Amino acid sequence: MARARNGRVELLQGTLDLIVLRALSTMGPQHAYGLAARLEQVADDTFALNQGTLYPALVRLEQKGWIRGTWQTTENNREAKYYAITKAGMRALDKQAERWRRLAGLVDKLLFDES
Amino acid sequence: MKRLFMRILNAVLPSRAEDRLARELASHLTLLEDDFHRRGMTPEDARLAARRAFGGVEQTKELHRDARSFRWIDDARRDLQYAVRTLRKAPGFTAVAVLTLALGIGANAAIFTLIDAVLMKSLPVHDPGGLVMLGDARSSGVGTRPHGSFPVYSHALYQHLRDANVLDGLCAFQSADAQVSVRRSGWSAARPAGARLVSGNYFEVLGVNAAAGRTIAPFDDSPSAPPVSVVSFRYWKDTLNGDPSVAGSTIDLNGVAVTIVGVAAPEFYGDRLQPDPPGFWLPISADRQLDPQRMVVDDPDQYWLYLMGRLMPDVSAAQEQARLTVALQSWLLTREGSSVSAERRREISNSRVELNPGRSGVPHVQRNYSQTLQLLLGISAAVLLITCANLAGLLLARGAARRAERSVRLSLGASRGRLLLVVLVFRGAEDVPIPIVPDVRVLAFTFALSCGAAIVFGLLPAIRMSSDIAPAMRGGAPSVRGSVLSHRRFGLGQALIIGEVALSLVLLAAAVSFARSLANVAGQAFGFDHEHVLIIDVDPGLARYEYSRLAPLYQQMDSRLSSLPGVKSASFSRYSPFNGCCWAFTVAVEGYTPKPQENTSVLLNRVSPRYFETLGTKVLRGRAFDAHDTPVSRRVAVVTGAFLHRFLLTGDPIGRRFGIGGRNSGDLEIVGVVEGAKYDDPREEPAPMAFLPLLQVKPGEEVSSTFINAIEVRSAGNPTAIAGQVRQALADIDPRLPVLRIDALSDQIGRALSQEIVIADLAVFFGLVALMLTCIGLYGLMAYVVQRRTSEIGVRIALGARPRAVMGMMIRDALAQGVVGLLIGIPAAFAVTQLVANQLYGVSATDPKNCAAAALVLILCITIAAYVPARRASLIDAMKALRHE
Repeated sequence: MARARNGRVELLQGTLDLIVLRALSTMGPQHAYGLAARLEQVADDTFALNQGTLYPALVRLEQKGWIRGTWQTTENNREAKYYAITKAGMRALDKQAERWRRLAGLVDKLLFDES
Repeated sequence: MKRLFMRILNAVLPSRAEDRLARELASHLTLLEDDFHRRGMTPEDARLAARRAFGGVEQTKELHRDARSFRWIDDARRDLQYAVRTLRKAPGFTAVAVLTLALGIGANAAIFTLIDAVLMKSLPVHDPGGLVMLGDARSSGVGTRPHGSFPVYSHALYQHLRDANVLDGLCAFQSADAQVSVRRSGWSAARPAGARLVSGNYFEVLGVNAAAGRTIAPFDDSPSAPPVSVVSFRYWKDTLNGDPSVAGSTIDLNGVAVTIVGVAAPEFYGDRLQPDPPGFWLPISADRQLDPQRMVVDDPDQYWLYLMGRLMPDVSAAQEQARLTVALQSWLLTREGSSVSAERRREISNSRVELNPGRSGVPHVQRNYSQTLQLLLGISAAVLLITCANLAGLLLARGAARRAERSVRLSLGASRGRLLLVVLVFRGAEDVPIPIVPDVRVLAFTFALSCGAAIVFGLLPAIRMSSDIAPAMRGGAPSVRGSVLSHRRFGLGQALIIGEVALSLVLLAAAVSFARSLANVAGQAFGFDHEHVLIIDVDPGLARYEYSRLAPLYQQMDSRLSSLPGVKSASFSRYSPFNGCCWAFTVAVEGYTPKPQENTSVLLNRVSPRYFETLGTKVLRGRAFDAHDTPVSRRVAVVTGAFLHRFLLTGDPIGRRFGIGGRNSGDLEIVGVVEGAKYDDPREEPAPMAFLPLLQVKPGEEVSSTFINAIEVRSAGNPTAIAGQVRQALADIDPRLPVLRIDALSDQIGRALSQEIVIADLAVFFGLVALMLTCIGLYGLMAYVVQRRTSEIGVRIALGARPRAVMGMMIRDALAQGVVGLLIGIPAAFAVTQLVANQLYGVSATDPKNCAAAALVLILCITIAAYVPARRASLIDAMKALRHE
């Protein structure tokens, strides 16, 4: 599963997309740095997130039409690309989250159930 | 779906996406930096911290590209740009690379085009795959009944087989090439043209249409039908000037008014590939009018037609073959009448029809050239191999200069596979195919060849390059120790050079063998003196001469031609050397008892009195013919030394007798012996020959052999200079007499040797190309080695090595590789010359001279190629080299 290294875990393939979607749906539009900061904060340094690795996920989601990016100005008057989740993205998030829940439950059961 | 579209779009038009990404990453970094700044860092520290926190910008870009488009399309495009840029920066290298590759691939494409055109093309007819040829077409002309498998058929037999309705259409056509004398209103003299007699259903069975008018139809092919003809599109365009009213017009062929009913389809050239396809097709029935003297159509014992048909849709070739054989045997039996000897019956039961694929028509040219073409393909493939090895070597050498750059690219996030791709594109961009005929097959072949070459020989150095990133990263130049080691480890470049040297040796040895063989063939004693002789091909039969009128004609021609200024002597003959010689006939020699089944045929020719004098053939004993040998005088013959040898005539041969044909008694008296001469195959020993006086025939004997086909004229100077006078003199005697060709005898021999000349020329050319390529490759490799060993050589020089010693060391290195290559190449060269031994004349395949000559040339060239880099090495400045470290 996730390879442990220095006590940190690396994300499973495909889960980053889901996490980004979730973060955008709860926090509203965010730029990549904001997302990265948020994820690091939530994860409390337990998983390794190279900030650059967000970009492939963002471009994938954008090409699927699940998020949309627009250039805006930050409160400190810097320009940044803000990503917002789209309707299709919300639907996809529900579906993927449900799938993840079932998968995680199954894996959990298979690995740790004593029966 | 949408994502797929976006990815392709991004791959093709990457600049927008690339700009946006750069902007976004910059903004990301700025935000990070701001954060760190706020936490109290100095601006400089904040900037660095931001970079650290973000990770590799370039890696991110690569990942992004990966996700947003198809990586390989994107990469290929970028690598192509990179390759083009690199090529532009090094025009010298590019020129050499492109030229060598163009040469290699071009040579292969050209040879393959030839092979495609000669061996692989189908007849331009309807559904050529359905055509079958009866027999293997191994003999042609007019002859007696064949044994075993029938290659030629008589007209009566053709009709019998056609009416057996075994095949879905069966047509017949003349097996030999024939010529007609063409006269047309507005032309000053008769012109020769190729003609072929074909059955009435010929065009129908082949499925060929007319471009104008109509084709020959079955009703044209009957004794009562008026003579008609179809002209070829080429003849119509070139000789009849595309006359729009040609269909329905009349033309004079051999003095017969023939109606041209149509022009054949433009692409149709006949039933076989040949250099000069026929201009006229006439129905077989026209044979009765065109050439009554030599008419064969109504003689069931004259076998002269090729048969071609179409398979029935649902019947196998084996079944049809069996049925045709039954039809053949029944026809043969019927003709025997009531009493058939057991031997004859056995012979008939052995007679059979074999069906062969008719897709490419009569396979004469294919048979003659396939071995030559395969040989040429082998040679050109070897050259391509050298070209590729060479380029691989050049890439390696250049790679030395680009190491640092490559290492940077790798560390910047380019994957190893990607780096391979750069080199492949680099190679691919140089592929310049030179298709002579834009044929799909040729293009496909060339393309496959280029790709194969690019992959194999681009990949090798690329793999090598990507495998040693680490040392290059550690420092610009390897250490002294490292350089010695890596020099030792540098196996690929050496292997390439060794391979090149070996291949070059094979090609050069082959070139030497072929050149020597050609020199032997062309320079041999033919048994006549071919300088200063003009040969004029004529055919009085085409001008409607009869036997009785030949004597005055020959008399007139002799006195006219002999009195021309610059003419030493003139003669006439049925056949001239190397021009379809001769007719073969069984002879019975008095005092020689042949074994049962022994073939006692010799070549026969009819010649005029001064023939031997004109050709320069020596009369060894007795006399040549003279004016006393008239049609009614004692029947005499002149034979060759080979004839005496063949029939064990020892002692004085003058006065000995022999007869032609099994039944005839020895009515020919030998009056002279001449040296044996080669008339047909320049590689074979002179065949036994007998010469007869031009007009001496027995009453009732076939007279066609008394019609001359050639006039020989020996001139004082250049023979072609008097061609115009000769032509004029002949036109003065009879304007209807067509001159088919005027040529020097040496050119006639040259034509017979054309294949040899082509092979030798190409072998020498490719051999030199191989030599040049090998030298370029060796030079490149040596330059590379010198560069890699700069510091080592610097140390040597610093320690007191003299420049001369350094130079010697470098050249010795090069020669060592050359010698290894030679050691591999020499056995290979022997093996290859063994393979082509049957194409060599007077050159032993195992003759060490060929290899020795090739090896000497190679060694010399290797030394020269190694000299320049070696000299550069000897001039290395020790201090600079060590500082370089």
